[in-house]
Amino acid sequence: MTALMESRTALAATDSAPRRNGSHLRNYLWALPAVILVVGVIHAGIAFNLLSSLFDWSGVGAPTDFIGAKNYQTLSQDPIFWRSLRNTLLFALVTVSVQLVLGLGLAILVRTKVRLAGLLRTMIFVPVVLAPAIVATSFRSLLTPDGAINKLIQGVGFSDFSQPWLADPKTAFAAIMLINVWQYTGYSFLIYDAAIGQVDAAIFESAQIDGASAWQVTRLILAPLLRGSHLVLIILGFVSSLKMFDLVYLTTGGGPGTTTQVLTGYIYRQVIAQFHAGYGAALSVILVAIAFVFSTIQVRLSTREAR
Amino acid sequence: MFHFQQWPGRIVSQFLVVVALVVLAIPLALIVRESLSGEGVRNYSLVLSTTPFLQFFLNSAIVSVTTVVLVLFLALSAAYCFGILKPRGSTVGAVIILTGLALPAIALVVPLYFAIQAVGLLDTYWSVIIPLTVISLPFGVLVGTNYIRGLPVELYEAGRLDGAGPWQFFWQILVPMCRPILSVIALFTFLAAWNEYLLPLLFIQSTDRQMLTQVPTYFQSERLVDTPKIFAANILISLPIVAVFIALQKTFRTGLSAGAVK
Repeated sequence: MTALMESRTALAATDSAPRRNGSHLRNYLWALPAVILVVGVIHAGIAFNLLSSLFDWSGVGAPTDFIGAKNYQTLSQDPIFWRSLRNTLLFALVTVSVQLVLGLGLAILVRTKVRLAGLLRTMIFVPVVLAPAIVATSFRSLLTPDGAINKLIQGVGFSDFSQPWLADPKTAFAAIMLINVWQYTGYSFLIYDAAIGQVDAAIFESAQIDGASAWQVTRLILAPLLRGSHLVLIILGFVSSLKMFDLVYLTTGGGPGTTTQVLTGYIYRQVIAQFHAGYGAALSVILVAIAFVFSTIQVRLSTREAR
Repeated sequence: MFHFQQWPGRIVSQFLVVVALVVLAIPLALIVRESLSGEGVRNYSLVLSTTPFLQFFLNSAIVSVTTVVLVLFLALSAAYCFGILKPRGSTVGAVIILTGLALPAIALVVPLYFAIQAVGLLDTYWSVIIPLTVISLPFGVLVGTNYIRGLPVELYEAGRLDGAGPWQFFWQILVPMCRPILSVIALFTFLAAWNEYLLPLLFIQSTDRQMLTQVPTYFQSERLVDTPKIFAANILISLPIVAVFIALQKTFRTGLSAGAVK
């Protein structure tokens, strides 16, 4: 074995340059399939969007009516675009902050001396793995004026609060956000629960001996220790809000009117229902630009923490 | 760690835990109850026997498993290149892949439709598998590369000295060592694939190739507005994934803390 190794080293030493070049080329092959796929689908797709966004194009046949930046001009004056963008960002802001607070609160709660903590850990996990399409269709039925949720509200004596939740523009978007909070608070919980599990318990014990209250321990010791988790959840939350489509499409379809429309749903409507592929491509370019900002932050965060 | 809490605090904590459980359980309980209204348990057997449910189930399984296998291989081999071999310029490759990390599939609707039509894959499993694989790849490459970079260097240098070629090294040393992160990538990719709604909606037309998430839409298109049956179908769709994830929740948790969130 040693002899073999020596002879290999010797060989490598004599003609190192060509051998290294040869092995270098082979090294690239390992990443090549992944790079080709990503370039072929994602990068080529983005380039195609950029190009076709300069045409007045129905999506049928090749684009021929070159109109320059006119789609972007239309877009800047399109109230539905601005409403969709605002809804997408509002959705991200509200659901992320509520899920962070609730998730952290519950993660702390299961560390206190309470019963049923194990059950909570499992139960909170269930909605997270359900398909958003299934959750959305289920809630659409549950939230109709004579649906199960209104019946429940009437049953416990709060008849005044029963509502056509998804059909009333005043409550529709809030209801959608609540469904998301119900489904994905568990995700924040899981991340916080895992992070808290890695914190050295001695820190808390010594703080307690020093006379710190539970609230002080949480606010002054735990919350700063979980900075990494907060950041990750904020980024992942914004990214998944940008991607969110099923939930709105299958509950309200963006309605009533366009009150609950989001960017993904508006792209779908323009491209698939109204054959405005050129305009849809311009909308996609905006969505990709926003997504790109978040993927940059996500990579930065992730590679920094891995080191 | 908050075991030092005094009894008034303890009562509040216990109360909050119960409230959380009730809020989580109510929608689930309502869904189960609705699924049993009308014809009771027969709703379930009718869904299974009178709709192509089992075919949809099989289609979802084929698409999800193929996607997972592809993502695992492509992501780990790319991570091997970016994390260990590191040929000159490999960072560029990593950046190229990672730009896709936050990309919503809907943003690629127009180009995807034309590309898939052009290569004649419309209405095939591949029209869902390929975009899903590509969209899931950046996450796999990111956590895979980070994981590999965190491995002790001596381990793979030992492998190199044993005279293993890159191919043997990959399969006999790297794959076993990366098993924890591979199971994380597999779980997340499987979840995304099994729950995918948009891609089959766009690219699959034949009923016998549809995926499970299309079942509620299928009911509507067939004018079967029988709400209890939709709920029964929703439960049948969800049971396998809930069962799998409860069984594997330890891996899922470790993944969240070890690889996925970092």
